[in-house]
Amino acid sequence: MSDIKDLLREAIASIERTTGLFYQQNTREGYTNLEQTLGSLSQLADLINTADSIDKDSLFISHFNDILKEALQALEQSDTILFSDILQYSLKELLESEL
Amino acid sequence: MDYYEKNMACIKIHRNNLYQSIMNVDVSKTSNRLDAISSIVARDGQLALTIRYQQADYRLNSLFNPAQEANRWVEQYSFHSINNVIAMFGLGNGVFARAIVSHMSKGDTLIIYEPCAELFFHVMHYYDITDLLGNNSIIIAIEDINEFEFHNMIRNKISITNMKNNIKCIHPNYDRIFQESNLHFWREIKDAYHSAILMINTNMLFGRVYLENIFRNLKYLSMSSTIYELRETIPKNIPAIVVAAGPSLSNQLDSLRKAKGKAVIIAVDRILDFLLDSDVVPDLIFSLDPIKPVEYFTRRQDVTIPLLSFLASNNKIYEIHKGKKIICNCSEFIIPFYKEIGKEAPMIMSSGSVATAAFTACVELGFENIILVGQDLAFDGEATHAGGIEEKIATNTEIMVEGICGEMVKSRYDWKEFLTWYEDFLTLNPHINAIDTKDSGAKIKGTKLMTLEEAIDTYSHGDIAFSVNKELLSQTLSIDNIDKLIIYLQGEANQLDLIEDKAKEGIRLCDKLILDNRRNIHSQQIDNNLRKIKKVNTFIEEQKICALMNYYITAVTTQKLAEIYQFKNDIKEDSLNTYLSAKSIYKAIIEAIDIIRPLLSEAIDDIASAI
Repeated sequence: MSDIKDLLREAIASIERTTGLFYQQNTREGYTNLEQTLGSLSQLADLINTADSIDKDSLFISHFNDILKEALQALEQSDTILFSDILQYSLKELLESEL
Repeated sequence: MDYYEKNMACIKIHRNNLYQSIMNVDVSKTSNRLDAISSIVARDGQLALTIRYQQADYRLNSLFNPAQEANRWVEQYSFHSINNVIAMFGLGNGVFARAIVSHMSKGDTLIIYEPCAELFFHVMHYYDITDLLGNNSIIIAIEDINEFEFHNMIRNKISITNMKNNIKCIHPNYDRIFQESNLHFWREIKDAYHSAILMINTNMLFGRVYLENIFRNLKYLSMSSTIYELRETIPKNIPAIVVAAGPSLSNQLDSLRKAKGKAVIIAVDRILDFLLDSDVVPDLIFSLDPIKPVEYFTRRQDVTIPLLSFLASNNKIYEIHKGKKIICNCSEFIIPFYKEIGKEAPMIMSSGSVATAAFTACVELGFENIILVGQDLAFDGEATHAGGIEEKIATNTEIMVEGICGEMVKSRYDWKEFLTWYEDFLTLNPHINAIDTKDSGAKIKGTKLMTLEEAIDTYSHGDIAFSVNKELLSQTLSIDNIDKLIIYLQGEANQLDLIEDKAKEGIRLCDKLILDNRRNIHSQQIDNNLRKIKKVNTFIEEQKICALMNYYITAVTTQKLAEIYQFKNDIKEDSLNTYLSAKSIYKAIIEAIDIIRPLLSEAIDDIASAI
């Protein structure tokens, strides 16, 4: 469980960094940092899927996936601000609720 | 009252010029640039701007929390320094500008360039931006309404003390949408920096020479007149001709000879011999450059044509010139003397070149029709001046500018600066009618193109053959006024010792502060010392001679002045740098006094011995 909480904190911190860069129009650095953020989120997703402590049918997983889909859609449209908003206000909130 | 009325009422009170421009705007120029503009409610209840331009949609604000987005955006900029100038491309709905304002300190200025008037009017209708419109620290320039304000203010605000800590920022997405205007924004900033650097380099070059010229030329004050006295003798029904030294002058000598008596002909000093050799005798000569080699003025020993000049102009030219001196700029130091004797102190502004300064003098003399001859501001082949002269300076100063026929012509960075000066001047002074008579060279926007003959036929009315008033030529200061000048100068000489003592006190205080800083001592004594330094500075700044000392101080402490308002948010380091910079400036004050003291003494002796 503590692994998940550590990963949650790491993901939240990474989201802060990445969204900060995109909000500041530092797009190149933002995308570089995004790799790390996506890495953290991917690890988190794997851990959640394998952890016994989280109900795999829970709303958390469903919300998590929905938010990621929405975020990735924004990214496909190169809308880094909308992407950051989704990460900052939707995903980060969700992750914080699990701490 | 709706938002638009509220915003306009605010503009009327705080920005009357903008108000007038909005009332007079040509609506056809400011509408239909965008396909659509809308403001939608974001998740936090604030409004977010979206636009459609060239069939693409752009959001100018976060759909979740516009204010928070702006707060995160502004964190990348440092506001630690003092007297920041922040240039911003795009006002949007004001939320990003507000984020900047929340970080600004007293003395900071935000200059916003809004490229889309249509967008501005949408914001005026849907948003309350009176907090921004009523803020005197913010300058707002809107394309097609008052965009010249940006050009003007960015040049006014950038100086040696803030060049290194200016902030340039772009409202998110504005650079993608308004690309051409964005280029214009950056070009204006670049040009403003070039202009400031040119001025700094000029001051650095001329610092000590200014001082020497002013004091050595003081003895000529008793025999001089001012430009305002000359103004009273100028007829109103003829134009002025400013004869510059460009290559095209060679084709206009006949026309100039015929113009004699029908216009007041003012020749820049560089071209005097060329004109006299060609039997063209100007009515007035204009000299500005503090260190122009005398051979660029004249090789003649008997020039009596009245000389319009600055007190800081080359002393060697004053000495070789045998005629009447007419002072256009007496320097701030001499203003109190003129006030004391009931005369208007001549203080026309220098504007970079002798021709532009001569142009300014013409405006001060009351001319509304001013004809330019030889103001090419471009090369003619390799020739830079009339007579086929090729003045060589560094090749990396060459650039291309628009020519009078629409082609691109080779010019120089300094000439482009003068070109911009004319264009700015004519924009700010629409009542001045400038006529450009050259047949080749750089286009000066705002001037009318015609031949010199046509210009004389059009603008010279009256049969009087003009010549400089003889009474003016014989006018001098009265003995009483010369005595007053001597007393004034002696008073200033006495102040020098006091100023020197204060500067030395300033150095002692700085040394104490530096020592305490390095020892990490924090005590009430530091505040006391800072208060004492403030008193020292106030005393020195109030002295009339301080304006003169600044020429020298700026020249020798350029680097320190550039850093003096730069801070890094490390109190210890920032304080130490401030004390070290202040100490350098006090030392420069003492050096300036050492230069001024003998010059002032010599000037007093020269004036007294001439009585």
